[in-house]
Amino acid sequence: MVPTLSIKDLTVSFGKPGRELLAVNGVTYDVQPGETLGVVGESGSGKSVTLLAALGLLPSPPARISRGSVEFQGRDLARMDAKKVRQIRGKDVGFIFQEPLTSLNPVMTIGDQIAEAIVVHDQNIGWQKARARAVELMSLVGMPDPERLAKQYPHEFSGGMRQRIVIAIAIANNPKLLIADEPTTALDVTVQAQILDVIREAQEKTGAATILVSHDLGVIAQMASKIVVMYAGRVMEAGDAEDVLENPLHPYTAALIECAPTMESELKDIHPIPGQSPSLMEMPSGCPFHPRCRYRQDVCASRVPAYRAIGSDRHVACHFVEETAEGGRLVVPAAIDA
Amino acid sequence: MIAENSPAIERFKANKASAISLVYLLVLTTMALLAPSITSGDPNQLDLGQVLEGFSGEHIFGTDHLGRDIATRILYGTRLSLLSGVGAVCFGLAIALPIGLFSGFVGGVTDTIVQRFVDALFAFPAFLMALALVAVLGAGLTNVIVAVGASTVPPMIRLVRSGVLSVKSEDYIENARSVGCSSSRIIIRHILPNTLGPIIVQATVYIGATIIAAAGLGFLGLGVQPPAAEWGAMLGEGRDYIFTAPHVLTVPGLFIFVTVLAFNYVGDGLRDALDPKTTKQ
Repeated sequence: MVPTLSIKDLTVSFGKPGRELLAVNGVTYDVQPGETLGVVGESGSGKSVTLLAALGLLPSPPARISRGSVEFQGRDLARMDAKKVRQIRGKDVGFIFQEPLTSLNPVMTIGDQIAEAIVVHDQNIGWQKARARAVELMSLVGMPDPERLAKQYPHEFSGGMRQRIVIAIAIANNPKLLIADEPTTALDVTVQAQILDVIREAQEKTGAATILVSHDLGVIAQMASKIVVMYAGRVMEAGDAEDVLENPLHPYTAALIECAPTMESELKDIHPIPGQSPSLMEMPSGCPFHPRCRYRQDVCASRVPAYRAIGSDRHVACHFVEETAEGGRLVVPAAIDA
Repeated sequence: MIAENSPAIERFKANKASAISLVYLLVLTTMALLAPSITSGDPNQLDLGQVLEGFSGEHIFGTDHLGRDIATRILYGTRLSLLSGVGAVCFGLAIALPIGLFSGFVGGVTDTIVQRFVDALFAFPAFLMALALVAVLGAGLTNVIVAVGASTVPPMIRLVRSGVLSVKSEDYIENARSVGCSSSRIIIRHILPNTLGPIIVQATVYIGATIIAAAGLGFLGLGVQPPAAEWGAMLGEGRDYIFTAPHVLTVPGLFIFVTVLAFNYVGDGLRDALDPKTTKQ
């Protein structure tokens, strides 16, 4: 089966050649039709940049794809004409961004904003039909009285409602791929669950593959069937979501799980990862996680561990993963609720 | 864009000076448009038997040195003054808007080149630039509009560009890009409407400034040519009689003063209404 999106060895750099900073360094992962992939990592781990770069949404210069390929249904986006990529964006790929409060144009009615997504990709449809379709999409994402609400402006809606509108825009053209970048981060906890439901429904209706970017392991555990853990612009671990969360093979994944609060955990059960994620300017030598890693050895500071397959459906970048996988050296106190 | 009884309109109404100024300008505009039906007089009708008359029932604002009725001339002069003010700003906007939008949106080297060029234009005092342009183009209403309008282009370009810079990094612009909007669509449908507020405010204030500039050219005899009644020209023609018949230049002077003041107040009111975040000093 041809993957919907296949990212291979993608490297994104900022700045002039020679003095460039690598925001994304050799990232490889893919997502199959209908599947939901969760991408986890701390802020600045490159999880969003990977996808923005893949779909030509980073301003270039200063950003550029210096290595690797991005194949969307077999076509390489990294080498495609910018205009062609634009025709794919919004039509075959829908985006849901983090900030519903600011991702809608304040001086355009929401009906028009949804309709625009349709008109942009279908010159023949006309605004009237597009607006009618916008109203349908609004009821699809659970907006009551869509006819009336379509004529209102974004400031008249709550964050959750606006995120529904953003989702309606994202699925307006029945995309093959839905990219949700921290879709619930800016929302109240009570609204988060609703929005995740809307995304799940939207995905079922369109049959789109979904990439869910989040720093929230709980959200990922609920939604994703596969998981990619990123750190400092690299993939640390990837595999089946349940496997990874229950039996993490990379110390970073394990540490992430340990510091995520669950319903039962008390304050003493939460173990934050010491230190900070490295800045692009001062990337540590060897494995980028080694300064914060509990299990570090001398080799970790000198050599970058290879990102390699472990078993049938697991990839890990750690020098000691083979031993870990056999002996189970990494003990995880509280597994996340899956 | 703004619904009825919207907070913006409420805020504008709350500002008394602006509200009164707006009413004054509306009355002035209406009277200027309806001039022929308000007065039967001809602004250029000479009456050498009645020169430099004072205020009277027959001539509300008296007569000038050629016996022309000043009230009638003020009325017809309103047309020319408002037209040159509004026309100049429209002309200025027509040039500055596309350049500012483009320069701000594209950024990079193009933006730098355009902005350095604008900096160079800033070195010329605006009125001097208008004067120089009229000297080249010749006098007359159209040329005054072009000359005065051109002098508003550099600050307008800066204003538009700064608006674009602040809007272009907004999330909804990225969203529009992710939907597949082309650059031109993003500029016209997403960036322009969101930068319009400050542009409207500044344009209103500039109408006042351009009325003064046009009147200044008229005063110097470089504007609309006699015998056409234009406020600045009336001022200029009256200056020989400043001691014998001061009303001949006081009346047009007052009209220029009050009208420009009104445009400034309306501009202030619009700024407070459209952008409540900017606080008054």
